[in-house]
This record gives sequence, structure tokens and C-alpha cells, in this order.
Amino acid sequence: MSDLEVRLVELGGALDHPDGDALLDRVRAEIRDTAPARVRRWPVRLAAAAAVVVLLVAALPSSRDAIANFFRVDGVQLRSARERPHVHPSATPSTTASPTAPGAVTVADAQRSVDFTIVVPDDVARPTVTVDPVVPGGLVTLDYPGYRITEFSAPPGEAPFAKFVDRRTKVAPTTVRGASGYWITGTHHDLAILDRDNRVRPSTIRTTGHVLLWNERDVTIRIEGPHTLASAQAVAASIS
Amino acid sequence: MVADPELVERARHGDDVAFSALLERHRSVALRVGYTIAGPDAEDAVQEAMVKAYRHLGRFRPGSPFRPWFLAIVANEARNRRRSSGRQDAVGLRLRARAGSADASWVGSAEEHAMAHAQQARLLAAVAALGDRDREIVALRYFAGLTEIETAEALQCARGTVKSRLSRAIDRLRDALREEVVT
Repeated sequence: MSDLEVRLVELGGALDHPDGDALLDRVRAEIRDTAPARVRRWPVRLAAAAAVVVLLVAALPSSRDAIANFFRVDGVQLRSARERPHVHPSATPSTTASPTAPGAVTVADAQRSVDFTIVVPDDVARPTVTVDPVVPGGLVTLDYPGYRITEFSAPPGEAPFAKFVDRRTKVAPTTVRGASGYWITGTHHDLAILDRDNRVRPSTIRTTGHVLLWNERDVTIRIEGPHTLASAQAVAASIS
Repeated sequence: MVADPELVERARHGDDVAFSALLERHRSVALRVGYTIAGPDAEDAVQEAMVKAYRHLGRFRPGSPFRPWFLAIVANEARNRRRSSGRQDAVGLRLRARAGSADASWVGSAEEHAMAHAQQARLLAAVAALGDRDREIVALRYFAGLTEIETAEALQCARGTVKSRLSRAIDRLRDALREEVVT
């Protein structure tokens, strides 16, 4: 370390920042006021041999926090369906692109407007590609005949993608290309993209079918469309 | 003393005492980073970051270091506040008031002490005048003491990018300090 760098380290200890003595009390108060009490013990045993774990979302006292403890996919948050804003969702498989996005572009064009490397499956069909530029880092949707792939890379601490789940939703951990992921079934759950204040962007709410979801190299990838885990995994496996 | 990984794991299973202990351990460093990036909004930024960390503990990858993950959230909050405050001028940063002669770690005359303090104040002014991105990486690497790899993780960029950004920030600081001496 150079002399200047040493001086910078010393400077860090001499800053007149607030001491934040009351900080933890305020944090606790805020957490208490705005969220239900955390579940103290995770009541559902994850049987090591079981391929599918069914989560009875509505049966848990504070389902959202308990699920959040279990469900680990960067960029995606699970919310209870009760929290979904009452905007009529579009049930047609429309794109997640915002009204201001230009519409179909090429993969190369999309690559230029997002902050991560887009992955594509081995498919002869050319996808319809749309980009949602409002999501931090960009969100890309690739529509192929029979399935759709969504990709985005959220900055740490941000989860722009929300899934509204209820007691009928099954969230099953699975391994996708060596990474831990989830096969979420239930052809009724809604998803939405959140803005920077963590509020739902109403134009993005839509109903989705079964989804295979995982993180790979800081990119969150969703495959929607295939009706079985095996067929969804086959699409995932063909990604180069 | 319970290490971070264990505290995090307990916190993830609902142990709020463990989570408080975790926050307490990283509070000071978080305030340094928040202060350097957002000045007077530091405490608000850190408070919000702590609440977000609580809510997103489920997404923390067990086994990875907690501090870079947490400071990434802090930096994000501080950055947002700085941006929305619309301030373009140098962020207002100050040194803590000097300890008196009761400061047992200081060996030297009162004059030497005053000079060292003045030199530190000049360095701080130079840091405060850095652009937001430079100041942020200085805060993470030097004030919070993250390694280059941890800084890369906190900023979600490659290690090489961290190296070059740091090197540019240091160069800019050197230039600012040189100019200051000459004028």
C-alpha cells in the first residue's frame, strides 16, 4: 500500500459520521411496525430425498418472511397473492416490456442495452426479443415457439421481480445446470415487475404458467411455457 | 465471539438477537460508507439499508461474506439519496473533533498534532470533491477496509474494474493534493 492509501485508511477512522446510537432501535421499530413477526422455526422439513417440497403458503403464520428464508433467487421476491394490487392482469402471454420499449429487437441489439451477458438456448427458431429498460440493468424477454425465457441481473439488494403466490402454488427446489433453482407450478400465479421503490408497475402484471427459475453467474433466468420439469430442464440444458 | 456466518444463519432462521448483533458489528463501517457517499443523509441511508438487509436475508448466499453484501445495500441506499437530493457540489464531510492531549496514542508536540490534523483535513476535502463513483470506491476499499475482491463483490463488477477505478481515484486525489499545495 502506498503512503496515500495508508493515509486514506487512517482517514476512514477519523470521519465525523453520525454515531447512530439509536439506529438499531429505529430499525427494530420499523421492522415491527411494517411486517408480521418472523417465524421462529421453519416448520416444514426439507426431506433430503424428496424431489418436491410443497409449501402451504397460506397455512404459515407469516408466510412471506418464512418463504423468503427458504426461497433464494437473486432478483425475485415472493409475495402473498393477497398483496397483489387490484389491477386487472393481462392473462395473455404479453411481453413484459414497458410501453416505452421499442418492441422486437435482435439479440445483439438487446445485448447492447443490458448490463449482463444474454444466454440463448439451442433452438433453430429465431426468438422475438424485447427489452425492458426500466428494470435496473435491463430485462430481456426471448419468446420462442412454445416457451419464453426472461433474463435480468439485479443489483445487490434489489429484487425487481415479484411473484404473487397462494396456497395452490407449489415451489419445489431443483438443480438447474448445477445451480440451485426452483420449479414453480400452479398455472394461476401472477408476476409483476417492481419499480425502484419496490412498488408494482401495474402494466407489467400478468398471469404465468409453470416456471423454472434459477441464478447463473449473477443473472436470473426464467423459463416459462414447458408443462413438465423435464421439458423445462431440457430447454435449460440447451443453453450455451 | 460468534463469527458472522453463524450469526447470519441464526438470523435467517428468525433469531432477531443474532441479527441485532450482526448489525451492531457492521454499524460503524456502514455509517462511514453512508457518510462518505451521502454526507448528512448517512443515518437515514444506513437505517433503510438495515431494514432491507433484514427483509432480504433470505436471498443472502450462505458462506459468502456478509460485510460486502450488506455494504452493497448501504452504498445503494446512500447513492439513491445523494442522487435524489440533486446536490452537485462536493459532499460535506468533516473530521471528528481532535482528541485532546488525553489521546494516549499520540506522541508528539501540539504543533505536530495540529499539522497532522490539517493534513488529514486536506485529504478529506480532496475525497469530498471526488466524483460520486470515485468517492464510493474509496469509501468501500479504504474506509470500510474491504479487499479488492470484496469491493468487486459489493459493486458487482470485475476485480480488474475495481483495480483500475481505484487507481484512477488515487491519481485524482494525488493531483488534487498537489494542486492544493502549489496554489
